[in-house]
Amino acid sequence: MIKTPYINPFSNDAKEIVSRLGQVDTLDKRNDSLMVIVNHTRGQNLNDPHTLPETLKGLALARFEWFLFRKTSETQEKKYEYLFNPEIYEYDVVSFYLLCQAVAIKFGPDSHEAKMVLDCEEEIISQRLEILKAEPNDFQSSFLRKALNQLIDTNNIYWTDLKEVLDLGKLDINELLLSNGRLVLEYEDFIAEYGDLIHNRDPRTMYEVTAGVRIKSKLLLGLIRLYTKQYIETVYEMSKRMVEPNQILLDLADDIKEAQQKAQSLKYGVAGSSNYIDDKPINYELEAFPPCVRKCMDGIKSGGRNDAIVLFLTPFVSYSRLCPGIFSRQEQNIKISDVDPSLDITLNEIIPMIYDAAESCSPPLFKDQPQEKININSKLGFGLHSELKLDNEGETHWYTPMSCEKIKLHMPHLCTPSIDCKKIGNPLTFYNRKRRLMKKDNENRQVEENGD
Amino acid sequence: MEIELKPASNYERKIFYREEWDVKDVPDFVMDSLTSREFGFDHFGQGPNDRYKTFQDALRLKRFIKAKQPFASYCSVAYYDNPKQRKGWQKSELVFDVDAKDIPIRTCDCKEGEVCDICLNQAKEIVLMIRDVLKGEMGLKNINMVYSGRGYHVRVIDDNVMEASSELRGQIVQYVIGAKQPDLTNSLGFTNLQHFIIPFGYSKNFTKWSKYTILHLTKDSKLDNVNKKLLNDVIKHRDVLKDDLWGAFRADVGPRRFEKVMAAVSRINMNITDTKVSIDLKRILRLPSTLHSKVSMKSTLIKNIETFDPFDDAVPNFVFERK
Repeated sequence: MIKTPYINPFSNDAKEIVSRLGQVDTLDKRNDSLMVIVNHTRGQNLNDPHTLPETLKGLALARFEWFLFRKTSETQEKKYEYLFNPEIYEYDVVSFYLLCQAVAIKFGPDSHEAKMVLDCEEEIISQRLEILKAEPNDFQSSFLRKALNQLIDTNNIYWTDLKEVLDLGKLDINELLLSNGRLVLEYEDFIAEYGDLIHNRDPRTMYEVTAGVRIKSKLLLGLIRLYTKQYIETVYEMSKRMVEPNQILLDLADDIKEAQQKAQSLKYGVAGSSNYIDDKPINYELEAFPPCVRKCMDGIKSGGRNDAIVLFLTPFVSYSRLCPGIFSRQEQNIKISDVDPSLDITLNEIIPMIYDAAESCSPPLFKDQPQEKININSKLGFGLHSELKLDNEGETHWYTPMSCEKIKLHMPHLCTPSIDCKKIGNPLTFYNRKRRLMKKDNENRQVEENGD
Repeated sequence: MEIELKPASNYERKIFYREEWDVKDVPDFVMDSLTSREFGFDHFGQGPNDRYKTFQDALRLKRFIKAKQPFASYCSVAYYDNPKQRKGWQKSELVFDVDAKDIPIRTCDCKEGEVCDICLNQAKEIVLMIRDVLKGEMGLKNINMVYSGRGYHVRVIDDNVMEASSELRGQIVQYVIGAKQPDLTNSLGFTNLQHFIIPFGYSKNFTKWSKYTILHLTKDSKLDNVNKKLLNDVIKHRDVLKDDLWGAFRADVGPRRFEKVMAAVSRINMNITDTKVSIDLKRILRLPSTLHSKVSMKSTLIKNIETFDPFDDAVPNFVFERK
């Protein structure tokens, strides 16, 4: 039987569990009943007994490790099977709070580690909700209702109460059924609101298709992510007033860092894959440019010339030449001189390409708006100056290419997606992916030619 | 009398601000938050470059405008602790900007940049549709409509939405103008669901806007990935949509081609308002009551949109005195 805290660590039951089992002195002590659950989990890989958690602190670290290593191999996934055994729910809740506290105290709410904990929690709950799908629809629906009602009133909630959840970007407002601002989430409300509009179709099916379990799950995931984020922020604020943080939490934070570094070296240590996530200059491959960039380079014929050239093209053209792998780097706050110390590439290739596109606009951009040259320099990180000088670098930030979502809103006329744009979130990602595919194609062609 | 939308002369501007403009015509929603807003002015018709202006009271605003007789006047949609430096952002109105000259599905013969009563009327229809969604589905209150001179502004002063981030505003705009194809993936495994069979929620909204767009397409309309032949077929078969016979329309056009058309239509919908304005938290918008000097029209707070006619209600007196 799945208990609510297994899915929702912010439920009342979960809070009760934490006050019962969360005594500091027990967190780092061997916990036999936890070990029994772990060892008796169906499908659990027991080949490496020393990797199985024996303490609540160990379980907290295991949650994080699962998130980091789950995709490396199937055996890795099986190593953490116990996380998906509903019987573990009590210890799981305590370990969740432990993980949040360790990250909040040592790294803070805006850290990469805190973001990973948020992603980790979302992923774990998401997988557990998948397990829930094996249950009958009625059970799922009432379970989710119970879990959600510990956080909101599912019969009386307005979309404006969910602004912070929507802001997380995981749930879109157009997925919600709204009536006078109220969110229609439960079946009885759905029937009361829309029952009269449904003819010749099964209302229950219509409900499940447009809302139902799918939206409830998404909303629950969003709320848990939001509450986790807020919890980490609260702990961080409290920790600033603490004389000395608990050593167990500090140790756990160190273990988290170590695991993260190990995952990183596994990810980037593999030869071959880094060719297309470069963080050093590489020559342009114009054929791999996305449609929006090509359109912009052909010149903007109607309104929006400034934004297209300055805000959109300048970051893309500079990053695609100097550091196409910027989004894969942990440290994204880099300067042009870090990758082009003499500014040769910037002055001889990047600036001419931007100016050519500006010249192709109708009317040519600099003809009536010469000040935009300064703006271009500013977006490259060289402040508001008419010349690119290393002395001025850092006065402004080197803008990263804007996301597809932002382009659609800011410059909808630029976005004419091609088939390759599917599932792409940023033009630079398109470029990197396309280069990889083009190289693969070339290699295949060469093999075929050699074969002939 | 036919109203000609031509620029106001310096003399006409002077006359307007001296004899006709009254600070009492500035809407309450601006005056009530006067000290929190940034004002911007365009004195020479080259864009609003006199910015970061603030006014402590109506008298000072009145004195400034009467003395300067600006080419164009603007005020921020944002409220600040310190508007003079644009610091301490508190909240912003939620704004929709429908400019008649930029409507992608204009049915009139206007040249680029021009407006006429036909496209202004179309802008009004669009604004009414926006208002209905904001009021009905979104449940928002205090929705103000302003005639801007060449189109309309919808300005929502509802605290429930004024603190929304730029990203959330982006989502709201997409919802309100049906700018995204509904995601109908579902756990029940129905793969051929169509938005038009769902008579509620966002699907209904998307269907309504798409119908409007398709019914206003012309042979010269430009739709991404839709060639001339398909556009002509859409125009040929679209009349069934007047009776909401979407299934018949889809069958006539062909299911695959229908998909193409709907993807293109959603992108047209996106251009119905200037989305940049809606997501910009620090935008300045034309100050209602002041003159749009490029077309000699008054930006006017609308009391009753159904009966509002810009050529009756937003024409400054000096236009009637022109020879």
